Amino acid sequence: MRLTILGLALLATGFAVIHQSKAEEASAPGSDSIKVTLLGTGTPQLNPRRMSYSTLIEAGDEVLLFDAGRAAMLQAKKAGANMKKLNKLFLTHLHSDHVVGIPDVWLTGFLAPSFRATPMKVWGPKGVDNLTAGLRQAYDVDVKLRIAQYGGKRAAGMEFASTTVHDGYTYESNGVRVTAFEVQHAGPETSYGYKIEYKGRSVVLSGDTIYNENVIKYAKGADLLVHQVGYAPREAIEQNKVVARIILMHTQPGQVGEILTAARPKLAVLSHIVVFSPKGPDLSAEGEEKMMDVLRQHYSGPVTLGQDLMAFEVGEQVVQLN
Amino acid sequence: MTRHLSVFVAALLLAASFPVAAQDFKVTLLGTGAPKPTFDRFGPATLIQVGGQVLLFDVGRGAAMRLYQINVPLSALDAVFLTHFHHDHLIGLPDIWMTGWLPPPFGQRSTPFEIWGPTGTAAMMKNLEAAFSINSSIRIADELLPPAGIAVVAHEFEKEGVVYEKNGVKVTAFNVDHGDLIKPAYGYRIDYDDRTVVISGDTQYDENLVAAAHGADLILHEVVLASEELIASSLHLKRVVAHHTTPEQAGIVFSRIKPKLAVFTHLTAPNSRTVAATTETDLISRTRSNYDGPLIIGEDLMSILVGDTITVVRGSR
Repeated sequence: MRLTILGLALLATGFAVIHQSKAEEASAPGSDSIKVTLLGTGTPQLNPRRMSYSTLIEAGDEVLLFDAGRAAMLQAKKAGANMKKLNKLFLTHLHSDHVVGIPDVWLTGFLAPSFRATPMKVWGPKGVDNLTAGLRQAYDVDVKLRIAQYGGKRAAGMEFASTTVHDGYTYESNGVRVTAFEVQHAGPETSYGYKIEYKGRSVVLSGDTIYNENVIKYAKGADLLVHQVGYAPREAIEQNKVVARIILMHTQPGQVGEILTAARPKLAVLSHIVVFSPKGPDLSAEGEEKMMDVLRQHYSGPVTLGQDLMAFEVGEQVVQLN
Repeated sequence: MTRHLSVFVAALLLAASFPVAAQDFKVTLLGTGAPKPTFDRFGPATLIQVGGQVLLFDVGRGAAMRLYQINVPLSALDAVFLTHFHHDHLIGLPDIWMTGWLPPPFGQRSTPFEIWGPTGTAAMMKNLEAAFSINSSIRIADELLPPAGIAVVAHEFEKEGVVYEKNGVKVTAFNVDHGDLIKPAYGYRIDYDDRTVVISGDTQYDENLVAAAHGADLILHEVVLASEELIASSLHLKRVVAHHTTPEQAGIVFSRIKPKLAVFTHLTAPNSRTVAATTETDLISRTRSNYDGPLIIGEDLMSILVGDTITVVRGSR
């Protein structure tokens, strides 16, 4: 059908055909570009507008999930991810909001429509083995029931294969390279960001971090930088100890601006958005806009406030798809 | 469509808000779906507010978000009950348990998370505690959260009977039949001040459920929706259907229990590439072949007030 249309168009005007095929190439999966979908842009905060943090990266034949926050499975389905390939998960750190979606992705992934038959691969900081082993044991009854019901041939699909990453760790497959780099988040916890490269394009995810030089190092000249942000007006930090403690675990908007100024990505997008007012969590669009205003005082380049299910095509240009 | 149904549809559309008397049950369907990831039907979870207590039955996908949508803090849960160990009833546990401990108003739990379930519940919770131990230790050290609030107390039971009794609220677990391999599997009967709500759990047609549910005001029952054509098309679907109750069988159950209202929940509605899922109109008409009493199809965030009369209020999602 498509061939026929193209054929007819070719008879009409050669130029139109070239134009159209270029457009198709840019938006088709399997092209030279990386597709990035923000599945969740929030935090542990219950907020119907922002599920907790997860990012889907599709490049060539690779489908990679970064963190599995609340509703990650639902959001992946809504984003039209290839569910049969949704079996590689990279964790930035082990805070609850980045991992509560794992049971769903793992266990529902054994059923329709994914029918996973090989272990679910999980990369993460020290402790990832403990996490996957604990989950495997916690849901042992379900695991055994499903295997007994749906055949032992796919039994391996109910297991995990976990890998502990370190600063500079790389994963390579089908022309896609993922590099873990250490950032700094909460006290003693090790936290990572990730750089994803494919056919000369690059996407960097900051992970949860305070201002960190390593982000600048890895994000320098990247096509897309997905950075987290934590904002509270001065009076909120002064008046509320809990707010102050949480904000000090994150990168404040002015600092994000400094990082972007130093790294100069083609486009920056904010995800894992923490905003407080003196009263507590501020889920309003106005609060987020105030945060963006502060950021823009420190950075004049292209930066977007991320929203759940917002998607980007990182090719010759970086294009926001929706 | 029968007369009964249209009466209840009218109630759905008209009732904007209603007062809750002290002796009433308020039942809220947090999730009416099954394992399939769908936005309109989250995983199985039912909230029961009665006698000043807040009880949650099963913790499927998205339960924490649904509680937030109806302004019930996660920390307000007095007791969580599990019907069985299929993952769709359990995957919301980590979110409810861990997020309920955090500092914002929806959290702030400072006493242990209390959960009731069949033998195996304690082992599962121990393993979840081990899996997420880094989250717990970091938040205790870094955010100074109270260790007691992330602790778990698991109350296990080995056989059917009364499993919870507090200030007049009595919860009785009863065996159901979800297939030979899927044991334990329980339904729950909740009694308070001459009113009774029954949750079927996941089950095939089962005489034990009919006996345990006698005199119920409200029964929330699972159902599998699949046409003969669909069942014939796949061995896998045949097995799935065999573990659940068909609309015709549910009709028999309801006609024997004679509840004031029967509500379908945990809708398993498979489809294949060639055969579409059964429609909800078909669900009603197939149930009607054996039952002509009050019946509705549950929806996420629907509330059912069980008092002298039964009122149904549709939630906004």
